[in-house]
Amino acid sequence: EIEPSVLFYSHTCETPPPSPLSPLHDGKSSAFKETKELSAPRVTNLADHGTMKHALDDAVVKIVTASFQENHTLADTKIALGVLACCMALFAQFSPVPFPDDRTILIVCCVSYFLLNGILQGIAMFLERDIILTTKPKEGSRAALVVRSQFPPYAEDYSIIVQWDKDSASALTHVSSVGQYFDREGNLVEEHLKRDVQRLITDLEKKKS
Amino acid sequence: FMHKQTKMGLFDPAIESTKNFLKENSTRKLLLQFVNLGYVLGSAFTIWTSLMILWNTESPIVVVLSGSMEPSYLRGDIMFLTNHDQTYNVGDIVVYRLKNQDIPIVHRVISIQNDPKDEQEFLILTKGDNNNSDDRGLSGYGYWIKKSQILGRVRGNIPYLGMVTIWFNDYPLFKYVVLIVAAVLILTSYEREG
Repeated sequence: EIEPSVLFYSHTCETPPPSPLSPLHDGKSSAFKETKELSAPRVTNLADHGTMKHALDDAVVKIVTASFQENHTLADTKIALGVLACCMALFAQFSPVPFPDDRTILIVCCVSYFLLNGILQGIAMFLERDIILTTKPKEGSRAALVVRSQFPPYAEDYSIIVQWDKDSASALTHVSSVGQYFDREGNLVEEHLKRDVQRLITDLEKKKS
Repeated sequence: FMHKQTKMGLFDPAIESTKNFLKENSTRKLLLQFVNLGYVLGSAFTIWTSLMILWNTESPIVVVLSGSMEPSYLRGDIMFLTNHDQTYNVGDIVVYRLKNQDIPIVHRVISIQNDPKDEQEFLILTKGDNNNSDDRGLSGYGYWIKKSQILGRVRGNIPYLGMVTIWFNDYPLFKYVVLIVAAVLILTSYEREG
């Protein structure tokens, strides 16, 4: 039986991951502190596209947030709108006023539920798109960092894109096969991912100045 | 030679994956998943309420529970009710509720009379097609039903689909198992992106 990683991906990690103090790690000061030791690595199903993308996205977020602070505004807005929509729906269903009299309340609740859901969909489609992380600007600089990722279905190339917020011309992309980041058993080799992400961000910060 | 085997409990894999799930997900992510669950529930509630408003009836979808309207409507059919036009005629199939009961009854109107006590009100006598006698015995008091007790007239029908609701009612364990499994699946599923 052929293992799926050999079948689909052009290259999987055969060698053990380099240690943090290997020559791959720049002696010069980069923007990064060392990330904490991971707990037991999570094993990903290599045939499930969605799980792989989530594993990679989560790892990228973990790497970047070791040195940048995450901006939670969008997630908080989505949660608030979602809770409000649920309250509208619950109130429509369980309103204390008996049926024919509360028509106006019901109409208001239903319409606002659909509106709120439309707004949430709009946020997901137009504001969020493929962004996996927005950071708060570091002290001294005005721009926030935005990290995006793309992993088209049925393809093996995972793209990491970093750019300054509101400045899409500054985008820097790194594309590689997911075989670079996962080994045969499905363990995510964080060191390879970290090397690529850190290089991207260091390049972006140099470009800005 | 003896090989020591560590015993694995029945629920260990499930506990392990739940622990992993909780470890990897911050409070915010968990909240977002609960909002997903709320979205599913909320959509169901809102669709029900929208139907209530559109069709002007308290209970826009009902399930036939007994065989009293065979062969037209069998036990387990889903009915769609509307209540815009509240003039009922003999021969209409209406759904009504008795005063002290929650369960709706689907029967045919066989007689309409003016209410002697109230000029505006009508009294309606109904009978199931498959029953031998009319519904005066149902309420236990021999009364005819009033127009205000009627939920609506049957406008549409999906056969057999309501059997799931009947199973939920008859076997509450089935209902809890299905609901819990559905909730867990929704909570632990990731949003699929384009």
